[in-house]
Amino acid sequence: MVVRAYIAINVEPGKTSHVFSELRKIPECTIISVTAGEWDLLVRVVVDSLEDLYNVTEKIHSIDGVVRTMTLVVEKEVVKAEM
Amino acid sequence: MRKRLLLYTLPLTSAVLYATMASMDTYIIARLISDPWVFGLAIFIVGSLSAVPLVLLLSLRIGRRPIGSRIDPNFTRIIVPRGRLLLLLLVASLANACSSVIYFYLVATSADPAAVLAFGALVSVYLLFADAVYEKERPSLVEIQAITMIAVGVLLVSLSRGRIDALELALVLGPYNVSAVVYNYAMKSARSIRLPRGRRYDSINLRFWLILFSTLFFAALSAPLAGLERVARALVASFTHFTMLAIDMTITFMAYVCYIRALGLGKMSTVNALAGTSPIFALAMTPVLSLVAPDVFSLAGIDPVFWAIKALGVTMAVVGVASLALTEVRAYVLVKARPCPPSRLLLKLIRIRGVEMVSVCAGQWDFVLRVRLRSLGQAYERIVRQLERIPEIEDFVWVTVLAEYEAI
Repeated sequence: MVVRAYIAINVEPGKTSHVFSELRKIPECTIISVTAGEWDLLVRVVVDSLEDLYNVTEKIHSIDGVVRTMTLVVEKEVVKAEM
Repeated sequence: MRKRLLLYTLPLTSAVLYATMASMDTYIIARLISDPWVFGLAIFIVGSLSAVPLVLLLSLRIGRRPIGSRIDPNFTRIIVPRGRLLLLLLVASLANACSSVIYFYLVATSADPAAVLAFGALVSVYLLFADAVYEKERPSLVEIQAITMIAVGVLLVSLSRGRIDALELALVLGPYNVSAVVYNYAMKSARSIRLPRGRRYDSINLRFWLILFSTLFFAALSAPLAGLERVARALVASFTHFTMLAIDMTITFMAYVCYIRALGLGKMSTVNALAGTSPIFALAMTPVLSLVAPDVFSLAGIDPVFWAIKALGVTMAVVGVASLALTEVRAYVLVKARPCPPSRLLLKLIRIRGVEMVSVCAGQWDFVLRVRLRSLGQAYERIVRQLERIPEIEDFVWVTVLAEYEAI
């Protein structure tokens, strides 16, 4: 089973590039977006199970500079080009 | 690697490789194999033969990863295509073979093939319409302007002063360019087929099977036009000049790999317009090559007016590429819904212009929309106003992407 999720991250001021480079070391983070708005980073995660998602969340929480995260687990996905 | 950077560097790398390939083709035709049909058949035969050891080499593992994964991270090993992928590859190969047959027919029979084949640059304009079908989105004004500028710029660079035959021009504007559109559509569809864990079919496998199938189609389609005697000469030439042809086709292989990989990242018209700048790179290579083989590559006899037209073409293409690269906005919109059937709202959301993907989520927000636009100004008109009109939406937040990195 494949589990997809979005993890939005708030970062301490001045630590975005450090958190970003640490996220790039996590292979389950397939897309990492630096964003402007309510969140500083938005990460798309693809894992095999909810247990693995938990492990990825743990890794993200352990990165120096991460202040807050919010996880959204994808239940269904529609891509316009594939409709 | 940064996705947007990759979207522009891959087709431009492909353009440089195509320009190198075109220069080698010119040299081989001038010095080694003068008959275009014999050259065409020989290059397909050698292309297939040289692709096998090349892909086997790319499959070798250094550490835990195959060498080919450094070119396309999705590559693991040779995968035999089946089902829809096989069908798309056969369609792309047939279209590729058709455009190659027309190309060699024009080279063999036309009084000035370069003059008429230059109109092949307009294929990216055709692809604007193909994109509208594939992406289910109308192209933006910026895209139409930029791609038309690139296509016309490349056309100006490629034009020669020769006579243009109306029938030959119809052949290029009709079946030649349409085959290219079908090829692009089929390859993009093949590249978009998802494997488990969100992976996609890799460009190395796609090119490998494409050259094998294209060779079979090209041989079948060209044999009646070329004649069996030329087929026999092509077989001999493919062994006599194997090394030179294999180098040429290895460069072509890599050019296609870059192009196919880019097709998975952006719109067909954008990728084609960027890769279509190869005549500009070929023009830049000509002064250097004229020192090596002055009888084959020569800039003499081109008057200043014609140079001015070519310079104008280069400027137009560069401005077109820059305007494409600098005008893209990506964003996410997080949506909170009022109690309602999610499928109904999902359909409303995916129909909004500019929304590429909708994810239904469990958590603080109910939907995540992935948005791609040509300007932030469009964000209000196209997305925000549309979302405000949907009664099932309780709240939403806009998150603009400043930079994006993707494992692709």
